[in-house]
Amino acid sequence: MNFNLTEEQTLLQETLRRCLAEQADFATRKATLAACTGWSSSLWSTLTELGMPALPLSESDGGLGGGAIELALAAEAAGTALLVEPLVSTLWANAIIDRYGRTPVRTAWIAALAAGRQMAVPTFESVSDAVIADREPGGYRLQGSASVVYHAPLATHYLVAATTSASHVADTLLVVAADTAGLDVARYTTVDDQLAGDVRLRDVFVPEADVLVVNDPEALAWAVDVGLLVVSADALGSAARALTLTIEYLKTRQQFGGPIGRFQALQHRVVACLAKLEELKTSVWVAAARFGDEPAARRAALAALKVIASETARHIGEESVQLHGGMGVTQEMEISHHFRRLTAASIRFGARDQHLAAYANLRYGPISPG
Amino acid sequence: MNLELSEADRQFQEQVRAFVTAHLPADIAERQLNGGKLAPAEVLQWQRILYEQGYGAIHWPTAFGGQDASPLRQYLFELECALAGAPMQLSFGVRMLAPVLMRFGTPEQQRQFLPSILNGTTWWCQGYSEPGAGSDLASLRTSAVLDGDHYVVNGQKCWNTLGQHADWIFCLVRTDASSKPQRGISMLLIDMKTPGITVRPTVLLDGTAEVNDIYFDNVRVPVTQRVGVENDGWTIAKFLLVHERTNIAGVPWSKRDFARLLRIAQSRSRDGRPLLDDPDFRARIARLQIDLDVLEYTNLRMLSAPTADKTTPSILKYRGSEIRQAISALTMEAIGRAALRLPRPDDHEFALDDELTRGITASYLNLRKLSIYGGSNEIQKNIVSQVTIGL
Repeated sequence: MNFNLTEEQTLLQETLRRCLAEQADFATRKATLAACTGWSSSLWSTLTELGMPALPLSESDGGLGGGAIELALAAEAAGTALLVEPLVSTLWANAIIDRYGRTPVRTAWIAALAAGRQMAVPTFESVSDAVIADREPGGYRLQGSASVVYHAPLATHYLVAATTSASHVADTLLVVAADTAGLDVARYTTVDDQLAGDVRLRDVFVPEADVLVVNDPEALAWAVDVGLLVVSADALGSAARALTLTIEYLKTRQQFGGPIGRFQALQHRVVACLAKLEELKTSVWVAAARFGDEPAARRAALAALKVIASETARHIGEESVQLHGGMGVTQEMEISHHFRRLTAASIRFGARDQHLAAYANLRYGPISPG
Repeated sequence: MNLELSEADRQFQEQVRAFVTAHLPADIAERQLNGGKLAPAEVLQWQRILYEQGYGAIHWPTAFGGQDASPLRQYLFELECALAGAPMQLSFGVRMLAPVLMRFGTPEQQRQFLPSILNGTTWWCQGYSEPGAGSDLASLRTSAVLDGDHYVVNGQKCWNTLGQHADWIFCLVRTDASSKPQRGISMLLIDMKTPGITVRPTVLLDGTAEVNDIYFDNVRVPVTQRVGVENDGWTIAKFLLVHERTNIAGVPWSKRDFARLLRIAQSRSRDGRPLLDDPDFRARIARLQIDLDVLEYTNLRMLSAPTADKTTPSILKYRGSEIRQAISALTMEAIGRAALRLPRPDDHEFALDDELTRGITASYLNLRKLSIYGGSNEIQKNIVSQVTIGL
């Protein structure tokens, strides 16, 4: 048993950290947000050159062969740097494609994804986020919509979860190109300044060749879990940075003749945040390491992770703002951006209660009828 | 990153499990797992069994009769023992005094005291806290004045755990009153049968006398029973604090208590179904299980890290206390009005007091101590704050 990173993993972590510290500091972010494009294509080019879209893809497809740990490391860096570029969405999508989309027919497409020339994003954050798929000769006909799809306006392709039965649980995964007839995207910005959209599918035909998974609910559960992991790792990076900023502020902000960090009431609130941060850190790495386990063990670890991540994101976000006083509620301060990112993380992929119930069912079995 | 135990560690864990299954007396296990009481002799009996099977103090170096066990193996050992219902080893000798003697003691002291700690024939207790020196330990005032080849000790110790059964006590005393508080402290080993020692039990929340006040009235202690350099006892006290961190989170006992909570929640009913299926209760127990799982892995993460991290032990201490207290509080809620019973030793045992309710309230009351002793939760937060904020 060990919790150490390999040499390659440490290198990945340091490379990303250095790159983002230089090219994605807070001033750059503010400039990007002010420019109304919603993202920096030059920063995205840099991340592409570093091989980020290729990270989850297999080496035989020109990828870097990264697993859950590598994905979590990259996502953590994205959270620390408050990236609005589609790193986390891309890691997630490409991990799904690597596992369920590798056929000779798609070799060229996957190479384009690895090189960042094309970009896929998943449209679901839960197995309940399913559109209806009706069987037709040669493929499926899709009806439905997907709300709050992160980076939808930037994607060339969508990974759509669908149900082929009367059940609301997704069992089918399809690729739909952004320019397909019947697909519309309503574009907007999220609470954490990221580009997103609602995706509407009206009579969208998907040919057999673009179907990745049929009748396999566990595959969809796995796909959701990858997203849950990377978004939680993103929250870990953001929460850690928020606490660092808060501690700095407590050391420098002078009131009543000295730094406010000398007050024990404030110190103990910081320590409670540090304890929660350690717990989130543990949860992220344990969940990442559980990706090789059988589905039930993985699901339990991921459900537990989201319980911890949702609570911790809320707690550290709110405490950081409070400890910054009035400055915490201004967009001038970096902390307010982390607060909004952490708020989003607490909600994405389902809030605490639903994951706690799922965890309980996995550990104790379903509730008997009362 | 790898959560699996190595083959060698897995085999070690299985050996411990097999040993405990074969050698732990069934009646002791039954009482430990179901809220019964243990006699002091039974605690020593278990230490003797451990000693005979080579498990007397696995964390000690092999030269002193230990196994030089890694922190991970110490954890696995404690976990197997706790889950099977073994008594907790008396930490004062095995975990606290022994490492001090190995580091600061003379060869004579090591020869005199270590073997009887290992084989369970000497019961040690600790004399640290005083009425005026609790969290602020350095302000202790029990004095030791040199008189020939003896110290003459006068003063009062409190919160002394189980000293009524002890053969010996290791004490922090003031040997120089003129210097600043952390200087002028020394550690003495004192035979409890020495004339001038009075032990007065303090009755605690649960009605038992787990701790004592100990009074020293001109107690003569040979100079050869001082550990380490005179006036340098604070170094030893600090050494003990950083040394004893493997099990600072108390995960094995929390896991044992949690298993009982789960049994109770499955057995008792609310509104015609198992308590575990009551949605509100279920959410609380599940949340607590997540906390416990995360605590265990955070603990393991610290044990596997080669570098000494100054904040994690304090975080583990205070979170470990909170979580174990929360388990005991939820267990008390789970048994409803049965929690109102707190039988005294001379009360009749009620027929209704079964293995699902016995000792639960006493345990809830008793465990309030967790967040107070060994550096209260607030002191732990001060330590973390000192390292991270530094103001």
